[in-house]
Amino acid sequence: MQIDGKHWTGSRITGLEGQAPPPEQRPRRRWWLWLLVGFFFAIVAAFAGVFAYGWHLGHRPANAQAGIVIKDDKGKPIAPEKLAATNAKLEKKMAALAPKGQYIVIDTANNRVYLRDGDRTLREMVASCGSGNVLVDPVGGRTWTFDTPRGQFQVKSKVNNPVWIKPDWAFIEEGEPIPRDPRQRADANVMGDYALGIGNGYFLHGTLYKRLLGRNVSHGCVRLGDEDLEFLFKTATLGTKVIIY
Amino acid sequence: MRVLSTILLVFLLWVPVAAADEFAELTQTNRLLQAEYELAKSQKLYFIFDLQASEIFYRVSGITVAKLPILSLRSWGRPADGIAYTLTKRTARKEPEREKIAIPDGKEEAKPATPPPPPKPGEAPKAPELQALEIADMPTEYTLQLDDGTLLTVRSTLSEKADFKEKLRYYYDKYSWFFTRSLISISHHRQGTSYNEMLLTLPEREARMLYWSFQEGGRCLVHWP
Repeated sequence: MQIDGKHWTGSRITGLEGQAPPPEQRPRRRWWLWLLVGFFFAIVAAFAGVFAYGWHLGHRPANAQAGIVIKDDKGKPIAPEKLAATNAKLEKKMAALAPKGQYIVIDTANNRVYLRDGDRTLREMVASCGSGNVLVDPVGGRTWTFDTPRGQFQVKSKVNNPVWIKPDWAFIEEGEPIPRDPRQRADANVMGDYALGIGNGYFLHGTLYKRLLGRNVSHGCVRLGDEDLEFLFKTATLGTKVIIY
Repeated sequence: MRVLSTILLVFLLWVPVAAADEFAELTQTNRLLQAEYELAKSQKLYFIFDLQASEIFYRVSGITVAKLPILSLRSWGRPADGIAYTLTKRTARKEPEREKIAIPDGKEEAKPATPPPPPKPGEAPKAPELQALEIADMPTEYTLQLDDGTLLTVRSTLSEKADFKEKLRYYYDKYSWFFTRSLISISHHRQGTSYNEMLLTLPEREARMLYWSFQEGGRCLVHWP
């Protein structure tokens, strides 16, 4: 008798009696293996189907792109041949918004100040910008966050030998009582030789803590080293744009 | 004769297709320029995610003040072009926290500050410990959610110091991304919405810089790939 390519003799079958099932029944036992394989392929096919359907959904062209009609200022559709000219006009209008002449760029993340003219960087300076810390007045509950403001500003004032008029937070931070006499708020020794005001009480000024230049330690103002401050003070004019990010 | 007629036919078919492509490109440029012009007029900082050029531009009044490189990009979905988006939410595994300044007790006598010991020969001086929120405190893995629901997921390259757990998570995220996005897309489709996500890989410092600068309420434009 031939089963699974092996030759079985009557004596061998007789010898296995009571210990193993007859060899004729062995192939029938593999049904679970085929079920397992089928189940595996079904799972793979299901995963592939889900993935393919999801992929299809995620890679359809956007509906919002269809049927776009570009219109001019008067609401009339622009002919294709005029679109290139319209784009050039828009680019020109945008270029007109850019700052004219030199401007100052302040990178608060890296504590750098740049003097730029168009796309050219004329000078890079190390600074100290806002610490981002929070101060809460234990008595009045007022809160201050010491961030350097971001956005576009301009030089509004230029001061020689500036005197710092200490605000309330400066006393609260030191645990000192807030003075009633305004003269006790004046401190002539902390802002360096020059200050450039950009509005809302924020200045670009000097510092006593030169070893901390390059770190975020200020209360929101931008601190500079003596040489850089003098250069910037002499270069920037009232109205010079200051871009802070 | 047959060859000539074939060339003529191909040419006649090619010309309108090329013209349509050119017009589509000009239309897209026009929409982006119009949207950017509106942002530039506001005189506020805005961001351009130029996914075609693999760069992120910081702009004010139409001029670029900084740019960050995108090392790699994966996109899922395709939102409309030429729309100025607003950042509505930033989500990070570990959000940076601002420190609250401890106010000294006025009654205590001020202790004289002791200078730090000088560094040993050949050793770089240590940066002073500061109570401040600095760029190093910013996360390198986070998600920026735009006002139409589009997600910009930012990841940084795997650091050499990453431990086994971090490496496992990194590779799991990397290889399961497409499959999980498929499932999310189906789920969104059942709810009648579309799912759009961009996965941007940036160098570590640049990833931190973007989190630092792009804050809730910030505006941006995306040049989709």
